[in-house]
Amino acid sequence: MPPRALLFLLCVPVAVAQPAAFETLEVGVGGMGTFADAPFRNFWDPGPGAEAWVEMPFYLGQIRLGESVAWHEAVEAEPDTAVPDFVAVYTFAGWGVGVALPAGVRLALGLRAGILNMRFDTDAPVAVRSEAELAAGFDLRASMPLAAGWRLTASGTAVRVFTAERIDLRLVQVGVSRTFGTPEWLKEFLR
Amino acid sequence: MMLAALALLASLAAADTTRPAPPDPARQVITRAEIEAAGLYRLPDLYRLLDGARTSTVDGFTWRADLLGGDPFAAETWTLLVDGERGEAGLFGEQNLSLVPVAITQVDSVEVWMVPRLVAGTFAPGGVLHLHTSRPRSGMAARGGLAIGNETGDPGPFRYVPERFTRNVDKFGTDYDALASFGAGRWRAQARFKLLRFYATDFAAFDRNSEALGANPALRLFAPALRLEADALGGTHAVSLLGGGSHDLWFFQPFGREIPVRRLWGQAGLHGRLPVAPQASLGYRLALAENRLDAWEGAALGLDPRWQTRTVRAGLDGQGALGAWTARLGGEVRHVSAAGAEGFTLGEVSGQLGRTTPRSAQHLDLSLAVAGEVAARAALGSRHALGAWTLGATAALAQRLPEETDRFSFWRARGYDAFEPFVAVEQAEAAGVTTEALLRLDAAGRLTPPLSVEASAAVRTLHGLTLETQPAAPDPDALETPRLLVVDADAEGQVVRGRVNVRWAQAGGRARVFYDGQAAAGGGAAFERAWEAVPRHRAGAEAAVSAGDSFTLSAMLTHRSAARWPAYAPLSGGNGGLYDARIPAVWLLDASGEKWLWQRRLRASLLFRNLLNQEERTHPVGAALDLRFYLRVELNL
Repeated sequence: MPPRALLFLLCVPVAVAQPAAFETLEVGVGGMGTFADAPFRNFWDPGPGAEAWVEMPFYLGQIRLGESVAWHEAVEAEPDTAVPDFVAVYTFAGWGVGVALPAGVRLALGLRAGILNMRFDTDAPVAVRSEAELAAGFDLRASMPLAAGWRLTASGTAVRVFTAERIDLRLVQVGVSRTFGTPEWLKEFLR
Repeated sequence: MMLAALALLASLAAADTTRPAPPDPARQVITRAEIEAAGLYRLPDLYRLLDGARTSTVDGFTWRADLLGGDPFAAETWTLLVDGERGEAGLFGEQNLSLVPVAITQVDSVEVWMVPRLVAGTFAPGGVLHLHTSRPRSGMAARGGLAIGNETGDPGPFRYVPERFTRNVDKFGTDYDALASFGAGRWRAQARFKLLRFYATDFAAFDRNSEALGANPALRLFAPALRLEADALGGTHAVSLLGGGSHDLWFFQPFGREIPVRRLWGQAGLHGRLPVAPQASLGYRLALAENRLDAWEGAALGLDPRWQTRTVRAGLDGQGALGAWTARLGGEVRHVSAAGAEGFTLGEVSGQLGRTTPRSAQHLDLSLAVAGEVAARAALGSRHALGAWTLGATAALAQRLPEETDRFSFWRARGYDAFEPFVAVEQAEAAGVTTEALLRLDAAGRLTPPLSVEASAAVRTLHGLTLETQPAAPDPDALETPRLLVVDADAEGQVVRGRVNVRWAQAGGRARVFYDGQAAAGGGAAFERAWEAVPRHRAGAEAAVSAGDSFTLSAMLTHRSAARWPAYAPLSGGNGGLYDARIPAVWLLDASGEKWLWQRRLRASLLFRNLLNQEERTHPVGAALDLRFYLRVELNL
């Protein structure tokens, strides 16, 4: 049997045997790097950021709600175009399916969609100090156990911001997460 | 005499009129569960669920529809009912569902008749859309929600890069709606409202509208309603107050562009039914409605479209049952007065004879309407159950008076002159009675247990039809251009339609594949020209899956064929290439998800429209709606 097929057969039973919906609650936090291409990159230099999220088993796969924050500094190499710095706050919901690999490693592929809110550092009228737009894309996430209930997580995300001129961002995140049993009152609420 | 006839019927009555008949394939029912699963955002979104309807919009806020096969931008001749009462919010043949004081979350079900028939005491030659709101029950209940939506394509950070700057595009909401009801003993009460906002900033219309308003075109709409019901004297009686007001950019086709207007309408109604014998009852209806149109204060278009009508309706009917037979006889008088134009009084006498058995049902609807002229109409419907199949047929021969269509040219001929001298009307002869014949055949049944199919074919012939046409569409950006409206009061033509639905349904999921086609099949030049603007084909598929009763995902893929507006050909390429007489064919993919929380007290839904980001445009100078999303949160107590 080819090694890939063997790996698949090992993974499938673990992948389908997920906890009941909302049974556990994983809370995570991490650092984030943002990468972009021109023309966006010609005007702004994305700086380091942070991301926090909660993840729960859903009816199929897992759902994740999260928010990330990243500072974007204006590039001074464009002297004729004085653009303001801005903070990008990305509030998103995601869904994914995962497989369990040996040694407690988990790998998941998912979708996410949310609102990217850009808050500009400018004295312009209030109405144009922020812009919000739909941003959606794909996640590839991996995690491994650190200690009881704790995991080391890493993810790569490709997100498209649906502005008139589309902006494609790549987000790389590394962090830790802690898994809890969901409180009964919260399970009742969610179900 | 009517009471004597009822008493006679009652005396002959035998029991058993409640046996279920085969379902009527010409009647479509949209349930609350279907509305929720589709993630519908506003009331006009219902049109997307109607079998075979053609819809159009200029701004993405006000949608128009045709139910029987026709140009959605012509007069909408279908009848709107809200909880058994006619809604009188129409204006010059436009039925603006947004103005109706029913939020999409307040709809319990929608009943749609795609054939002419007798409803609420009068004949409805153009079909019926009946909105049933949640009925008040014993005790107290309340529901409220808010919703927002946004079209993608904003400038984002490039707002600050001059060579890459673009304007913000349409934003929907925040919308609010609430409903409270109370029931105790024999009394029930319900109060509700909706508040809508819409920023009409689509590129195609932004310049002309912001120039007229001197600001960002933000539309606002408020629509409240109150309903009181009582069980008394052996029957049920209802008092209702409906209303709506808006600051709107009203697209007036003869003028060729939007006009900033303030609209206000209100309606008070009383209707009920009293038993007069064990199998006979007497129904009554009274309604007073007022409709006003004024210029939006501060708008700089230099046009005052002032218009005001008052409608009084009074009707009485008796109905009785005798075994499998039912009979109904009634009459209604409607008086419409208008400020600055000559009003009219219309009287109608109608009757219905029906027979229902467990395997078949037939009805014959007859009506005679009198105003300036006389119009006679008849509709015969029959359906039979044959094993797992139901076969149905409807034949209708209906005349329609000009007073029943509420066209601009009708009121213009009666003295409405607010558009002088902006719109010149050329009309060789006065509008008369329109005669329409319709034959529709239906078949519905099960193929194998989870699979069912519905199919219909119809042919519709019209004579003496009034068509308001324009040889050359007016340039919306050039106000000084004279507008010419040519009224052809004797147009004729024929339309053929066909439709097929294949459904699959099992616990936890359902799917549907559908197709409907319609086209002009002969007729005068004006008729065929008008029909070029109507897409011939609509086809698609939809599917929904549920996890228990708390989570549903659904998706719908629709293809609409291309159309062309010949009168707009000279404007093609105008406004920076945004105007185009050709309406492109389009594939639309919508997807939605809904999640109930807190034992179904709290609901959140998310809807994506036009995920393929195609050019969703339905009018030559109208908006092209891109990928957009809508989020709704609703609380039920």
